[in-house]
Amino acid sequence: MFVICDNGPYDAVGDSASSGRIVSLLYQPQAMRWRGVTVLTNTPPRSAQSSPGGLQGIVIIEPIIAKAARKLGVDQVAIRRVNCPEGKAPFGPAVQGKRQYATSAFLKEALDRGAEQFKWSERVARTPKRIGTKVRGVGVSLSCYVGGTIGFDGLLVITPEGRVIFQSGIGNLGTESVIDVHRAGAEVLGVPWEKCDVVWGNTTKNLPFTCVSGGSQTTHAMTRAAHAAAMEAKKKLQEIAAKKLGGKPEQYEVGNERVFRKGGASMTLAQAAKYAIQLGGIYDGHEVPADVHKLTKASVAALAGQGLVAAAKDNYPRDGSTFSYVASFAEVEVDVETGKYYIVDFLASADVGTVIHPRALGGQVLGRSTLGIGHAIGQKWVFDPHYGQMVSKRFYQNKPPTILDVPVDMQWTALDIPDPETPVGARGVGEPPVAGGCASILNALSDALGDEIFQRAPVNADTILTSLEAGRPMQHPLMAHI
Amino acid sequence: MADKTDFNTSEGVPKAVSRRNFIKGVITSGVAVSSASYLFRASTPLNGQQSAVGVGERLITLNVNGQQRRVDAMKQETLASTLRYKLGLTGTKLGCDRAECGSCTVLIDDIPYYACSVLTHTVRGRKVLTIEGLANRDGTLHPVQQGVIDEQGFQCAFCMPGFIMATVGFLKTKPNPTRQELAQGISGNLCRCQDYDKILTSLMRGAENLRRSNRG
Amino acid sequence: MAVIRDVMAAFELYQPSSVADAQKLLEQHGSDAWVLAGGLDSFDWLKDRIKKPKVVVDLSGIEELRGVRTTTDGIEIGAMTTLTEVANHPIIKQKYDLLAQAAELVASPQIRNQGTIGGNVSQDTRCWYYRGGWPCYRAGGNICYADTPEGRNREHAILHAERCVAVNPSDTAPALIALDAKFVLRTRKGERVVDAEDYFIGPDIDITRLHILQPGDLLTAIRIPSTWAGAQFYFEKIRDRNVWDFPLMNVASAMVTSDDRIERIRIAVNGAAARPLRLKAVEDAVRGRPRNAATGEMAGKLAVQGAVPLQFNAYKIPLMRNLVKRAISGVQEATWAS
Repeated sequence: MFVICDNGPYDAVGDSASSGRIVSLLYQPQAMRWRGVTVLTNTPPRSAQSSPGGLQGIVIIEPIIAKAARKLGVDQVAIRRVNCPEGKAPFGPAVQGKRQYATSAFLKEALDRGAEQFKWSERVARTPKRIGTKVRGVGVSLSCYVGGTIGFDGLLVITPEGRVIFQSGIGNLGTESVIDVHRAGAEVLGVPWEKCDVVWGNTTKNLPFTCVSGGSQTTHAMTRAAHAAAMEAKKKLQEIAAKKLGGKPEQYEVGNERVFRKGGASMTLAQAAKYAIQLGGIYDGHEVPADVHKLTKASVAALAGQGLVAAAKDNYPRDGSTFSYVASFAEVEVDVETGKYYIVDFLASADVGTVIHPRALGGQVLGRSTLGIGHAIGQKWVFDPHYGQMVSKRFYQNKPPTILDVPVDMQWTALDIPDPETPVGARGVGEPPVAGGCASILNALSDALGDEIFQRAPVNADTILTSLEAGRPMQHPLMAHI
Repeated sequence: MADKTDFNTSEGVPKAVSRRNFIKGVITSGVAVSSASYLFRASTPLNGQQSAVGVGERLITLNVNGQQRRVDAMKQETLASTLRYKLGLTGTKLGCDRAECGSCTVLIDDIPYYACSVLTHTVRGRKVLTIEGLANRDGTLHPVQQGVIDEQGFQCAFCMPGFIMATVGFLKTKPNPTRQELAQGISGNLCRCQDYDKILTSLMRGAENLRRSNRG
Repeated sequence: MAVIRDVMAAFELYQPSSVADAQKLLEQHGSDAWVLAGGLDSFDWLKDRIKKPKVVVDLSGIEELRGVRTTTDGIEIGAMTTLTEVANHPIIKQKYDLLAQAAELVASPQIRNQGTIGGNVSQDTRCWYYRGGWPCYRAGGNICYADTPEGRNREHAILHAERCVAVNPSDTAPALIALDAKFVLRTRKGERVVDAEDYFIGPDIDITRLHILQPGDLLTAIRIPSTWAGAQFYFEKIRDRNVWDFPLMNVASAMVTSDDRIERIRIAVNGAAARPLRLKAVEDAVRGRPRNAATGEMAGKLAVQGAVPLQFNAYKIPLMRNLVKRAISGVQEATWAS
């Protein structure tokens, strides 16, 4: 794999390295050579969009896999099933004889689930492929990208009224992870969600050290942090109960808004919070664990005395690097007289660990798939190469997809298999679906029209029509933006 | 030009009357004069009343969300600018400012328009409805807004007010649309989170809520 | 340069209530004046600071320019009638559905609610160099940036280009030509009625405008004769996005057949040249022939004779050929069991 990165007038970005890593993970090649160079061009500066490197790498490889499958007479899902990562799949180059590996991958299951729900075999077998001037094609693509980081802090307060207040430092991009990740904490404490509050949106509100909202890391990183804080709170509740009611902390359980000894004494969380304030020290935030971030320490200091204050760093072990995976399926209908095509159906089957919030997850999976679809069906930016000037400033020129460019009923599904290397089991989603959105469309087009017509994105009516007319690719793969 | 001495400067006048002789506003001799001359007039019909040649009005009255709102609007000012920066109605978003993204969509006499591409002075005497005007006075959300809440329709939601206004306008012409029809109806709005599927689901729920509330 | 998003440069706004008043204003202000219909083309120019008129004459208050009226021979559509009104009008849908179909495919719902039929046929080209303010021929300069060795000209002309290679972007224009519409103009010399196809001009006649309106002239109405009422219509628009996009190319035809022979036909395409093209040679060649694939093929090939592609728009030749073919012989519906 030889990646040439045209990043405008400035120096390299990470896209080329990331494309090599992602491809080596997603297709598990037995041997792989990767080279990346950056060229400087007299064009406008640019920066990474969603799934930087992953999108480009997967979209380069996918049509090649599709072509190989056709040459071999192997089903498109089957060839991907054979080659996709599984379990602690290795990726990237060997360093001192050792390769990095993923925390987990259940992409085979995602492929199987997707193929079943998409009725892949039926669609493949359906005849005729062509009626009049219309041709149908189906495509499948693997997709993945990074899915989480570790080491951030969680912070919560149990108030003397018995409510649990989660201090959330997550920047809300509308995916609602700012709220949702704390359900992990509520679950640990056995507190109904209605008794919980989430404080967020402003760093003056005494929030913990938190990951930035980017890199598809939030759900993974912050469920871990929320879990850690809740476990810390649980430990304190047990200690307080033992101090007040006798016995040893480990004899106490936490649940139903109480701390209790099986068949014995108990107290409510509200009572425990009052005792925490009486006890002070580490119980009400006057002292703080040494390993939390200084930002968290400042927040704890500000909250001290308001109840049982629990702050903790995510120190959970993780064996491997976290990625999320998607298998994407698309069917297109092409009019060979005009080159115009429509996406008939689309399905994304996601392996993103435990599902925290199904509706928000569905929005992410399909929304980011559509971002990729946009790259397949027309999104571009055009500059005049002689003058180095943008000419496609307007949406009707650079063509972000509209609601009518995607199927009116897009489908998604998620495996809900927990990742074994994180206590809650949830991985990030966001970037992982992007490449699959793009490549599944391109693969469906080549299923409809043949492998030799084009190897590029975007593919528009003009791309298809000129190439069909000439019987060979007429738009250079690297001249994507015209 | 003889007609130029005869100005209609009274907004809020029924259309038929105000259009009888309708060469409106020219700013040539300064805003202060025109505003001052306006302030001494009642908002009753003043047809035939003479005013100085070339003196136009910038201070106008708009019907926004059922309220009469006085505003000093430049002739070249767009409705989106007036709503946001003069009237404080920042629920109407300015995205592309080129009639492409739909985030500035408002209803004018029940029809969806891109407010970024409507001159404020052209909506005198017409009813403007923005996202702020949808909910009841008691805070009860409009059924379409409730549908968005019910189905968690949007992610970053910058485009949401525009989508909701486009939907409310479309449903006035087609209260019981199919998914495909509603998609067509709101196709003049872009979402860059590209959560179109969930948006459409939530707005379909909104349409259903609206039908139900109209029945009850 | 980024897209400018602040307030437009100042202008005086006139809102006349009659065509006569509008004309007086335009006469008074001459080349300083800008006529505003729906405004969706105009505001681009004004917001981008490429055109800086001192005076804007808004036609939206002129009642006589709005609405659809039946006449003794067909209908008359006021120039300020919105595209939504055109697309939904019962008589247009019933008798002149070609126009309703075309209007329905313009841009987006909001634009159709505001944009007018007069504005749609009078809008300027969407060449991205010209619209970006590049000083090209059309803008009064002495170069065509789109027709340079590296120029980006995917959406440009394959026919009748002369120095400028921009195309007319209107969807309703070819439909109106196919319906043999007449455009009613109000000029200084009085009313003038021209055939739809004569309303549009190429760079060989005037490189700075796409239509015959001179400063001070107004397009007031479009008349559609009953000649083609209820004929067999075909309209197809090929665009990149399925909403809010200009045609890469579109085609409109009106046809009357007897015993499946083409008795009468009018056909026009847009997106191929600086003006919508009525394909008279095609009409003549297919008249009297059976309406079948062979006639369609022949017509398609004839239509693209003389077409010259630029570097990135060669696809427009097969596209035009095939669209013309379909406009004559139709296209097979394809439905798969899902």
